[in-house]
Amino acid sequence: MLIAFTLNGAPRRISAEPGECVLDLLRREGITSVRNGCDGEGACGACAILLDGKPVNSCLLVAAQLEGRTVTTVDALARARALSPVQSALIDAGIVQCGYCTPAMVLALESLLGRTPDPSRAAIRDALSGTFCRCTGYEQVYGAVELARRRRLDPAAAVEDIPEFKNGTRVIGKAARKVDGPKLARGEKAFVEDMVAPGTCVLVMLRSPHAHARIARIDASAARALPGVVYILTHENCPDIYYNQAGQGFPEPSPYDRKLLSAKVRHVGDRVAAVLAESREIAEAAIRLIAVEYEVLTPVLTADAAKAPGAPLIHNSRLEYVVGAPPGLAADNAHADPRDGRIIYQFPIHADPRRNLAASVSGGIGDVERGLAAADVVLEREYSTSQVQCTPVEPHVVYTRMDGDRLIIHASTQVPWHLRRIVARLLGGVSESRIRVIKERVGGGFGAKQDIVLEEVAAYLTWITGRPVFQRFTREEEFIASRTRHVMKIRVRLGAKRDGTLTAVHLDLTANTGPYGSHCLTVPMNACSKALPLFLCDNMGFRVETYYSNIPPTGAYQGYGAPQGSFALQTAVAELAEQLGMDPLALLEKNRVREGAMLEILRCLGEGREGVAQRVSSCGLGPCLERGAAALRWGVREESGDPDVAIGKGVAIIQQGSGLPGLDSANAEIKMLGDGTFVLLAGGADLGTGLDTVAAKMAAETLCTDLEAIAVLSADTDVTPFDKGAYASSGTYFSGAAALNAATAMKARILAVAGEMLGEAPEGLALVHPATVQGKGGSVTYAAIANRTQGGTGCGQLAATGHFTTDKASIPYGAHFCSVAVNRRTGEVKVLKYHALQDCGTPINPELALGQIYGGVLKTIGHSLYEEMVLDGKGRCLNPTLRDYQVPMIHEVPEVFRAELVATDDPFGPFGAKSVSEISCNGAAPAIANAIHDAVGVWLREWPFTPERILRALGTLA
Amino acid sequence: MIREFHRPVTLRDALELKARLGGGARYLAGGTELNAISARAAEFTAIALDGLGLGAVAEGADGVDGLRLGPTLTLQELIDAPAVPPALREAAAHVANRNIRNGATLGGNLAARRACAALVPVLLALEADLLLCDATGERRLPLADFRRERPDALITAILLPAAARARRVGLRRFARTANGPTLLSVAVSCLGAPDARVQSPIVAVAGVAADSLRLTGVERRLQGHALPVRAVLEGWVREAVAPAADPFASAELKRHLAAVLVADCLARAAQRED
Ligand SMILES: Cc1cc2nc3c(=O)[nH]c(=O)nc-3n(C[C@H](O)[C@H](O)[C@H](O)COP(=O)(O)OP(=O)(O)OC[C@H]3O[C@@H](n4cnc5c(N)ncnc54)[C@H](O)[C@@H]3O)c2cc1C
Ligand code: FES
Ligand code: FES
Repeated sequence: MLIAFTLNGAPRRISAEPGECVLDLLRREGITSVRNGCDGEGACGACAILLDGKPVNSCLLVAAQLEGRTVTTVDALARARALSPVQSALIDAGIVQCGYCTPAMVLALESLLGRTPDPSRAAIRDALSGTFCRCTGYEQVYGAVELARRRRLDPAAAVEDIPEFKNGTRVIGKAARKVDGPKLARGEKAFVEDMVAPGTCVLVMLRSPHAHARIARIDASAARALPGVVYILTHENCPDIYYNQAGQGFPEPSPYDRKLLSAKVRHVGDRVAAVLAESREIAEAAIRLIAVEYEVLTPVLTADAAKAPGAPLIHNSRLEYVVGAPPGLAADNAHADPRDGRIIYQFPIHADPRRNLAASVSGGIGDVERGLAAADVVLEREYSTSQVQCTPVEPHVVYTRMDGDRLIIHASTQVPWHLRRIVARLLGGVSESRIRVIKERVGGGFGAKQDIVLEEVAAYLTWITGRPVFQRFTREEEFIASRTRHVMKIRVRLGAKRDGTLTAVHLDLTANTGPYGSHCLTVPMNACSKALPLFLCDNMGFRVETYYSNIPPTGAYQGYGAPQGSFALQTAVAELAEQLGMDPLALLEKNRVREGAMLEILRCLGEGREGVAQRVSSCGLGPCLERGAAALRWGVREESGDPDVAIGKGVAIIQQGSGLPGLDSANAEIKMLGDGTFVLLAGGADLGTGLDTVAAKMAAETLCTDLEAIAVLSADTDVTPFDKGAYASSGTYFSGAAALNAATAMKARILAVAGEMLGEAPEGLALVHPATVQGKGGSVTYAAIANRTQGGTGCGQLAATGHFTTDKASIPYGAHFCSVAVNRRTGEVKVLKYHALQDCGTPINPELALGQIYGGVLKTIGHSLYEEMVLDGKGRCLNPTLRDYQVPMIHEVPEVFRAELVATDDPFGPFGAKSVSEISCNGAAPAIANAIHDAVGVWLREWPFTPERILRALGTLA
Repeated sequence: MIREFHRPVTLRDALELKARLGGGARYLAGGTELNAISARAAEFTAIALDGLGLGAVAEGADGVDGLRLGPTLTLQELIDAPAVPPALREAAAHVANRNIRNGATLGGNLAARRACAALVPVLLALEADLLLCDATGERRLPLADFRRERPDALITAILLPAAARARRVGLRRFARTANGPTLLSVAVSCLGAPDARVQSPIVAVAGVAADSLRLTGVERRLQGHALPVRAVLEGWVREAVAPAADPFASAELKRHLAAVLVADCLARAAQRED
């Protein structure tokens, strides 16, 4: 039918099926600012439009409902590319991170300000109540609305209240408009799905309904015969190449324990057949025609079940080692089941798949047993964590196509270069020169996009069929076939003297990696390496065992094991304080790490290789604790006024790393343009964190030019130099430093040319803002230098590269304080106040650093109180939707939510910077557990702390 | 998936269409339920209600002594209408998501028959009746009977008797997150002066049983007595409900919460003056 409506001010008549989803209709009309985060569940609001001026979700409307109505999207706001006050305010307040939700936020707030020019906090909360933002933690939106309100009256109104850091800098440590902010706020084409050309084939995966089964027979002949089906890949026609999907540096500490498709399925949602067709409908029809007979095996769902004697084996595979094969391998392989395929280890990770052990490691310093024997108080406790998912609003998505004989991968990835390497391997060793990975804007990564969970299949199919391929995960696939936090059980043993001095700390950690060994060694190790070094104790040890099972796959998730380790150890220390009759804050203060301390424990916590002891180069923990305690009025008991509701306070100290010293490397390149401005080619992958802005600032500061004079192009394997990828909190420290080094090299080249032009020695010259070289006798602008170097008699365009590696670990620190209200009768917990104080060295982008903290905290308030994947006895996820899984949204933001940057000047980081994002995930669970105990006297040792668990701990429920 | 779409502008046309198409046709109000992914597998003909002019709030209209609410009022419009009783507006706000409230309608909320539909307990507590129309004519049915009978008729109005407006209501929605699924939804109302003997109590609990949400046994025990001590009332509710466990909450938890929330709601109702 023809539907007449007004779209962004213009009358339109569009032909559509009456039942066509309006989200699809708008996207096919080229309105890409409406996005899909929940497949039409109605829960994410990414698809929001204004319908007759009111925000509604376009996925819940059908085309026929538009008849005679007025539809507005953000596209209507862009007048000659200018930003509306709401758009510019959101960017300037730091609330635009990945930007996937931004158009929806803009519309919600435009509508709000239209009806209430001066809205209250409650009104703002209500306006955004339907917008799911996983990145930002929402808090900065209140400042953004205030700024927008002022800009509606005075377009020049400046952003206020953003702290400034670092003396003597122009852009470093100061607020500045995020370089990709305007594009994202305007809702322009930016994400993988926006790039797909008409005629692209659609890839849909047939997934296993069983958690553990062999494919006894698969017949895809009827499906292959269906017109419009392009290719069907099953284990029968897939290459016999093993790999791991973890996007880690090569050689990886994760086992190559899978092929593209296998004859054995190991989790509900495992790949059974990849169907490539001319359209989604055809692919789905083809899937229904594929006949599969399964030989169902007993599923193994917990690490305890996996390690039980006689447990079904997930990978009874033939084992191979590239280096370091253990003695007795041949005899061991005699027990392998050929149907289970192979596992290739790049080097030993102390696995034993014959008992489902995916990896293990242990180590320590001093003598833990002696330390415990010397203690006045010994505490032994066990903590467990449930499976939680990253839920980026943009799910995994990929678009692959051929360009001549080269494969182009448009990816939403954290690891373009690892992706290229892994795909090259899977194409049978094709050279990397044949593959180009373009990282588009990423609509949230959070670790899940560190792994290659769909790109390789799409790439393979494009390579063998020559056809362009698009695949986008459904929200359910995001839960069952992407990445989640490792489920862990952590036994903590602590010994202390009466005065609180720790004499021993030991972590015994059992992790459940699920069906494959992505990050199976390093995530659980990180739980130890980011928890133990927070304390100064001579006797420390850890033991890590990771087991295979048939739960949905786990892997990297912001924090990378540290949230689990931190929950266990920090809560145990608080429990110890109770045993000692001490204030938990005093116990932390007594034993915490300090600047200058030598962290010997890191010697045994290398990532699959020998570690290095590190001296703490900067540590802001002291002021973090001091200021946090003052802000929360630590030690002062607060009353709720309701006899059923008790208020308690909690604290935790936290740390992370800043990349992987000795393992990681980053590169950047900078070129001077004809007018003396620059283009910076940075390898680092910006996931919305502001890394491109960091890189631009490094260059602008060093080269004494304006931020606008630096164009950044990043994370394109053809165009930009190599970067390890966005993980391990390495962005600012590694990729930022590479940009700094490139700019410093450019500076040297500029000075050399200017010296020639001015007839002075380069050593006597200085760069001065804006874009000028000042000598004793005169000055020369960059534009003149560009003219000279790029002219017919010049030395050629100025270009420089920068590289960064280090053996230094600069550790970010922080203290999180919170107060909670616990309802004794209902078991409800409400976070009243949350103060996150963090030392990230010099905050390069203060407003974005704060946003990283708010976002990390809200995500982890999520796993502390609400989120969990619930599996049934057959390994099926019962709540694979945003609503049922219970993501926190703006209503879950604490009433008082404050992130505070406690700057230190790190001697090794670029301009003194350390990392900021992942660490923010480590404080919520222990601080909240600690506060719940303070309120009602019970310890919650398993997250999430649901009303049911609280009522059981209180003895209200048996 | 909607195969065909009609937007009648008279009630008669709507009813005729429905009579002609029978079960193959569905009334489409906001579509927040019918157009959602979970409902897309079904094929049907949509009869849109937005052309019928059924979105008004009328006081004392049509010989009705109370308030007449149009079924296509959105939840947000209910909240924004000063004439609507505060308890009903509060319940509409329990659907925390404003984008949903801008689409979702009052009639859709009642007709969709979710176990924990936001407006059902409160409308039971306000003694709401529904006006239903089908090809055979119009009839007035108490909401509780509508829930039991599940007629395939068009809700043309929600009627709140004038007496209901004298009711004092206590409400509580229990969920992990504001936008997450509702575990329990409770509404308790009574007549009489604050803190006096409980008169004509209504206790409605959604989430513990499928159809009949009223705890009439508890209501009988309350009737005409002073507010019982909390523990006693909780005991009565525990006896009266028989919730089933689900993967997200045990039966024990639901029973406990039903008891606690009813007690809280009654206490609130007894004190409320609005
Ligand atoms: C993200 C999300 C969150 C939600 N949260 C909640 C919540 O917290 N609480 C809650 O209760 N609900 C919730 N809902 C469910 C739903 O949106 C509401 O119940 C809503 O009120 C349905 O109204 P509608 O107009 O959109 O109904 P529609 O989708 O148009 O229709 C729903 C059903 O009612 C029938 N119907 C509609 N109007 C009439 C009428 N006048 N007469 C007869 N039949 C009619 C339709 O035929 C259909 O069967 C949520 C939905 C979403 C998508
Ligand atoms: S896609 Fe519409 S609400 Fe999520
Ligand atoms: S900025 Fe909101 S989802 Fe990323």
